[in-house]
Amino acid sequence: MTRHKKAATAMAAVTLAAAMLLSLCSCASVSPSKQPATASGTKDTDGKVTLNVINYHVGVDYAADYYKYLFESFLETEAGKNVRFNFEEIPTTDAFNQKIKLLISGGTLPDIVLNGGNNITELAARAGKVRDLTPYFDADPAWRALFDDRSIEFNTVDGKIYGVPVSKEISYIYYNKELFARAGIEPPETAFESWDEFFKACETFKAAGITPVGMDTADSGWLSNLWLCGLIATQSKAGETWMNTEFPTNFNIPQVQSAVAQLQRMLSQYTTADAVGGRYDPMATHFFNGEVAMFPNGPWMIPDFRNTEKAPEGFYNKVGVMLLPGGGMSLVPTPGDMVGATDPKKIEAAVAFLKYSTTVENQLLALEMTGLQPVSPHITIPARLKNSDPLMAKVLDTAARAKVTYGQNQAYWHQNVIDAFSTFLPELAYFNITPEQFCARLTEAALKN
Amino acid sequence: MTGKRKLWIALFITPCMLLFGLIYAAPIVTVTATAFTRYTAAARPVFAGGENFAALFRDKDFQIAVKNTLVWVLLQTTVHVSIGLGMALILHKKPKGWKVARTVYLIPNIVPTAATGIMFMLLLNPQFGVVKGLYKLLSISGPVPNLFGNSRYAFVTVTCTWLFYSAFNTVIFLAQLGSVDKAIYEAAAIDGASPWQTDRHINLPALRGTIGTCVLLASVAMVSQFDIIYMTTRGGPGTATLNLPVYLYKTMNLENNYGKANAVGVVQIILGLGLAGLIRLLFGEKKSNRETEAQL
Repeated sequence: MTRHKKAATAMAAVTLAAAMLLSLCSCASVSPSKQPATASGTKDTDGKVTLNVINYHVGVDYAADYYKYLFESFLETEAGKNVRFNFEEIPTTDAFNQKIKLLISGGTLPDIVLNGGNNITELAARAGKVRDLTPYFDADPAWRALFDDRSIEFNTVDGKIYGVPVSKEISYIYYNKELFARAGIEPPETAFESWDEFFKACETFKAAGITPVGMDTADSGWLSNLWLCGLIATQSKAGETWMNTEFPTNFNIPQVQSAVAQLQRMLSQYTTADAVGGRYDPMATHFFNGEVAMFPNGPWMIPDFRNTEKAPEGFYNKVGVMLLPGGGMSLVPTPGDMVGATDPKKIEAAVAFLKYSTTVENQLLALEMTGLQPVSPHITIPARLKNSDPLMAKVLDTAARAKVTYGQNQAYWHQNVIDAFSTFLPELAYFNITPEQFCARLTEAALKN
Repeated sequence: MTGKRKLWIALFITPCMLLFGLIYAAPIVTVTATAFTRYTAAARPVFAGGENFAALFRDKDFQIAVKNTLVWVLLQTTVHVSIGLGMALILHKKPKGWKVARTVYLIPNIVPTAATGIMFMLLLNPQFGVVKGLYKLLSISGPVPNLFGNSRYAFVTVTCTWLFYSAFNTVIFLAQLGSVDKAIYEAAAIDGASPWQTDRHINLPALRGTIGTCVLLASVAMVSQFDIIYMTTRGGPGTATLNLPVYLYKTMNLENNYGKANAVGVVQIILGLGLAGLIRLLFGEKKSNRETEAQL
């Protein structure tokens, strides 16, 4: 090898080794512009408080526009003029929840912790990673008065309030008026009187070649969950009480077992062939395409009826609303957003933002923009809504007539029980297990917590 | 070895060792240590002895996950590797259209697994997928089978999403076959060896070590197989497609039980090492290495 060649080889070797070392160093350092939203700090040089937020209301999220507005408009208020946000965006609630759980376990939470459910409030509170907001509620009775006791209780751990609920979640049934007319069924004004009447209608739909109901099993089995919760809660007072119990551990009770048997009937006889193993989105598409007569869901679905990328032109006008048989409707408080900041100035700023997110004006705006139901029980719905969104107005009107209100599994059951529900539903649908065995499986999962 | 040469070697090895230490070794130590603790999302780890392992071995879902993992390892190390080997032996003979066949066979391996999962979900959808079309075409009455949704078919269906796509192994085998001295094939041809005899007495012995490598890679891949199962069935229906990584994910993410999840991780590591040892033993790597060293 010549001297020049040797020198070139040595230079290349040194460069390569240096590159490897640099890449190793880069693992440990983060440039200031890419600072994660969980980094802490107090005031910036310009005197503004920087609040770190991990935001999952981004991209195609149903509330992305509303949250964008909320964050931007807060900065224009008196309380927000000295605040700036440092965002980290994580699309999908699932990924967001995983990240928050990891931060609860071994990291620092963002200053404002948006709540994606998954029992995060209790985990964060027990780990001491979020602040007790009780003093702020006590110091501002007008703010406290915006919330009913149930919503506050839902966000309380060991007597301390940790979450500020921004909405309530309701769900009921959407139906396709055209399919009802084609099957010769008169849709009920508010709800089918009983499940017997409902199943009779299902038979009529089937005879007319129309699939009666939308259901799914994958992910969390959201649609099937809504049917099951209604079946349990509306059959008896005991069922209603059970469905309003948080984190149940015994599913081996007659109310649940008989409801599961009815759900098995629905999955095997009254829904689309791809419901078993299917996800929510294709099932929603079946409803948008007029292939399914009844579809359980909440108000957040209404904007989709007008979205011509999802539903055919004019579909909005074909949709009606009814409660579940027996006048049932799921009504749950939502897990509220929390404060993860530790610096007093940041805590003040974060609480100010949470207060801003629950003003009457913003609750109404959230209703109009996203379908999120106001958390405050006594808010007057503006008359303009009847013209701008008659279906939403109809939802509010119908919801007020609910005879039975109850929780639903995504809010009230442990995560692994929801997973067991989803993974064992296909077994139930194909009669590989009995309703009793299904309930035993859920109980087994619940006891692992 | 000169001191200068040693310095160069150290210079190159150090970053790799540091990276290995930070990314693999340290987490393995942490995982093993916390597997013996009571550790949840809300609480710091507290020593709990073998509590997590005892809970694991009592759990019948864990037993199913181990069984499914081992069945997949067996299928992958036999059927999957054999398909790749068979394809390589055919392509090595360069039949008409071999270049097209090689390229086409590679395509599924360059599609991301998440996309493959979604593609199969849509293809096999009982409402609008190809199976329904086939039923219609062949005038078969009765309900279209729900291949991912029914536990009767789910395991086989999920397996079929990866079992036949063995192009990675084919490429490795072809590379090894390319290194066989052409004179040996010429001598075999002069002796009147048939293609099968050439494969039996020249190619397969030449590929022995490579087969061992491919079997090892296939088994390790199956011990950590997660994405396509998660995309299609999430371990269901019931526990039909539950394997160790999905069980671990659920324990960590849904039960928030990090200690138990790490115990699953330890079992997974032990299983992987055990399989690697077994494969080395089966393919006589030690022996052949010793023989090679002796020859040298």
